[in-house]
Amino acid sequence: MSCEKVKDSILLYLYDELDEGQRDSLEEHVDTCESCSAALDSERQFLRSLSEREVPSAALLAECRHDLMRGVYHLQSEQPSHFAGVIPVAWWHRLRESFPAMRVAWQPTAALALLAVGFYGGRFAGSAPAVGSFGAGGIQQSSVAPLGTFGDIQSVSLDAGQDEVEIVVEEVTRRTIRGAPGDPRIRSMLISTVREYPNSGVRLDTLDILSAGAANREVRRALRETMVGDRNPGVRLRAFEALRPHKSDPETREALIEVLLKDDNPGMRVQAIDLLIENPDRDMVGLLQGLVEREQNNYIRLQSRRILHDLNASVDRF
Amino acid sequence: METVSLAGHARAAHTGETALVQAAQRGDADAFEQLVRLHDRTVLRVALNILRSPDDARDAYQEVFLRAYRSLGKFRFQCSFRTWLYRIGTNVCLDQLRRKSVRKERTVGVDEEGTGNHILANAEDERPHSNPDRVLAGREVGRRIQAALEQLSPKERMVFELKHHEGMRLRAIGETLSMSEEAAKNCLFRATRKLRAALQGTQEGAQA
Repeated sequence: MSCEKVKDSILLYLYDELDEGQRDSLEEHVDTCESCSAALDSERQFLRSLSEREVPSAALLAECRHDLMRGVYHLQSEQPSHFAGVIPVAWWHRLRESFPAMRVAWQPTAALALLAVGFYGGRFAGSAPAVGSFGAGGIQQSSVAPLGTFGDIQSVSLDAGQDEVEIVVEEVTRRTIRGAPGDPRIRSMLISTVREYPNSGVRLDTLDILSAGAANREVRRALRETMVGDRNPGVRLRAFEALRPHKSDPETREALIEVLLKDDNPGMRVQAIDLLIENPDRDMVGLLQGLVEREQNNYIRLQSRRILHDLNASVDRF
Repeated sequence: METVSLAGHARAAHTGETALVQAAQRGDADAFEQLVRLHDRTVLRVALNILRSPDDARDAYQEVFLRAYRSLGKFRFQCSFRTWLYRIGTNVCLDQLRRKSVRKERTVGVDEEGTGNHILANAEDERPHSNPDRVLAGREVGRRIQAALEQLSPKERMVFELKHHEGMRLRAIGETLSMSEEAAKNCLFRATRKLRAALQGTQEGAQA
């Protein structure tokens, strides 16, 4: 390769765009040519000097995702045929009922709750359009929510007879709710979020928070329901992990058995059997015999056989 | 023994992107969300580095994914979903860049004092020789690079971003930007040449 050709190819070499043959001959040339070697170093240094760049913060990413969820929600209401039922309306209403004080300023108690609540709170606050009326007696708002920052004015009309203007606005106020994770109202929101929120990422974030409070009976119930019934296997696994310290709890064991028998994901079933057999008891014999007979996963069948053997029980049912 | 791999976005790993796209096209919101989460960091990072403003990047993010959401039904797998999505992303960023540059030109046009509004002119008072603080000098280098980047055309800037920072192959960049690989390569050459010239010029100016 000539010096001229090398100098033309240096940029592509540094950006790994040369084929193997071209790369080899460039390297061979540079090894023996001082001028081209210096040019290569100079170009490399120059490109390195340009490498400073911005990385989006986690907060910016979370805000973007939040905005997108709102955007998709609005599109969905414009196009009911696509993604119908993504955001269950009943869910909003139920949460509104379980958290009636949310519209007035709600004082934080102790620790910061979680990002997921910020997500959720924004959705919640945005879900109720405010309707205000400017009458002779000043401004009256038909909604409890104050008119905060708003994005889109949906309509403006004048009732000449009553000398009154009606402006319908789409409210875009974001509300962040803070409180101790153990606060009953926060906990209730977290449980509702884990049970019904459509976004699995938010459900995962919420599970992380709830896991620390698994000593609470209601939380454990929500975790069991999630482990058994969530549509996303990643979420089910996270609930499983949260319940691991409570593996001896009879209700947890019942739920684990349900996973073992019904979960369509073999990974979840493997996790369930491994946890159950950490404390094997003779009540499991029937279950294990059934697994040896019907389970499709080799590992689970083998584990079942092994435990039956340890329990001095027959592998077959008679 | 069967491999157990469920952590994180298990569904994406198990069923693959194509299956996710098909599910999203059938109206599966969870699948759409997972597609977003697979790609949104890159989309946001590119937008932030091209537009240099968190607010603009946030707008771009929203526009990219809402456009993708609206057009998902028309996606026919003629290219990878990633390429399709990045094509939307680069178009959105290029449009914003062009709008920004039009706004900037207008601002310069009404500047009757003739001082201009060029980023290099603004940076002049803060050159290292007028401020001995080394920290500021480091910041100044970043500012000069930024000023140099702004001298590139929107397409050159996008090719440079996708190659230099995102490490994409020139062929993939060409597909994303609807140009040939050769054209992408030429764009990259032009971009680096301009950057070198701009940075050398300011360095010499700063040392003078």
